[in-house]
Amino acid sequence: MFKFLEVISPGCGASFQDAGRPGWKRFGVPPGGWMDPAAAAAANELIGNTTDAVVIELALQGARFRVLCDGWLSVAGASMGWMPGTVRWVSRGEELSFLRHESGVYAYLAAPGGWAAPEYLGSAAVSARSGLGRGFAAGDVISGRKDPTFHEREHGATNRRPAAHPQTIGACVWPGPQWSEFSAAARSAFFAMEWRVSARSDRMGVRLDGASIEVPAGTMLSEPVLVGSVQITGGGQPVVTMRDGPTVGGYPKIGWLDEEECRRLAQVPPGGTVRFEPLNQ
Amino acid sequence: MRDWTFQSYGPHAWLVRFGPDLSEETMRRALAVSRDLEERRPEGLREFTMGYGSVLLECADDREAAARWGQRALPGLIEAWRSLELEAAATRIVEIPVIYDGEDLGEVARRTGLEVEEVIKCHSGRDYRVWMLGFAPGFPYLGVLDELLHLPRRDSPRARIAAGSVAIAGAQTGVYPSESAGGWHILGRTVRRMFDPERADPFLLRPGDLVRFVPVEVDDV
Repeated sequence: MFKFLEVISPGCGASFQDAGRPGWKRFGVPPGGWMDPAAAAAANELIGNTTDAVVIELALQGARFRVLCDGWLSVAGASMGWMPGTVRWVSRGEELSFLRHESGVYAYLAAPGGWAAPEYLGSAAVSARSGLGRGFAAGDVISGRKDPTFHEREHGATNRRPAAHPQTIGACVWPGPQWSEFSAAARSAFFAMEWRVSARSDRMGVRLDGASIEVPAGTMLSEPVLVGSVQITGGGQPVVTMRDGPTVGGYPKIGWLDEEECRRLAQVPPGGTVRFEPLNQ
Repeated sequence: MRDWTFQSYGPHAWLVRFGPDLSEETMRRALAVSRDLEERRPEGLREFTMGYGSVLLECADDREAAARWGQRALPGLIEAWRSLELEAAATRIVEIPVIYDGEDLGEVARRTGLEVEEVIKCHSGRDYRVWMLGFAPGFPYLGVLDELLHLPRRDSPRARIAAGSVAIAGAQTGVYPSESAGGWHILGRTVRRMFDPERADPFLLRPGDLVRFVPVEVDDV
């Protein structure tokens, strides 16, 4: 173990993440794991790791770290004042700040060999709401599993063009289990609306604000929920279930987004907008 | 069984419902299916999740393989479930001490037209079956609640509900295992931990268990 970083501030949120823990949903344990799998994989690849190594996930902005020893670090995903898609040499005593939010929501920090992180139910993915680990707090010391002065791609490492993170996206929607129970007016309102991403969005769900749409009458029985489900709450606003979201729920689900669309939606910052498009099967 | 339905939920998942309502038969069928899946682990099935009288079946992300599974394996699985033995009486009764001082107790009393003491008596007056675990790790969905206490969920979910909160919604009652958001009405709290990842068995309750809420005073715990 190599003590590499000390947390000065976790900002809007910083935690260990990996591919998550499938197989526990029937006990109520959400799959968890990185909100943007492609960006996490990019951070790992940049530094020569296998794509399943543990990374640090940063949310939005505000995280600050002190470097405790010299070594390599890579960053991918959202842009927070550190060019995403790059590998950088950092020096002992240096301060790393992610204070300037430019685009996207989730950024990933990878160290050579991955970070040393405790595992719960077979995964290091922190899911605070589920009581599985906790996000970083000021003073935490984070260690790498290998000597960070070497990484497999040191000589051939090329920085890559960061993925675009637009403020406005269109997302393709599959029909959800209660699709046919929504009125025709509710369905067309759902597609016509430009939904605004709420600041109350997090790893559990992306909340969307807009004119409220009519929900089907009656109380629904709680039933299983897939990550990516577009639920319509009692107030008529959509919440898209994300990776730490509930495994079952009682809100009607008008639609479902696949992993790629979820990933794109996760990277739309608060105030950004999404318009849903029906699946063209 | 004529009432069974199944529908696709995205390209690699299916939701099977065992009946239109919460009849004893429907719920026992779901418990039996959960036991069957636990024992047999059908090939190609990546994950299953129980709902009230329903089950969600998930295949691998490969859409073509999932489509084949849905066409070939799923019908046989559902057919086999029709002849399952329905579960006998519960083998475990788990007592959960509850301090009834929840923040929604007064509102629940007002909306149901009961006195606070009657709400407590009504909620703790019967044993509940664990129909499933879900929402959060170890969160037990318990039924069936006395009709006198049936209320819809809150229109706007609370952002923060304390771990150990005992709550009701519709025909259900449950216990929040960890601090989370939620839309249920909070009647009280317990010190028993529904979920602890450090424990040899992280989950206090299993589907099929019976739960008995025992009213206690703050001084008793």
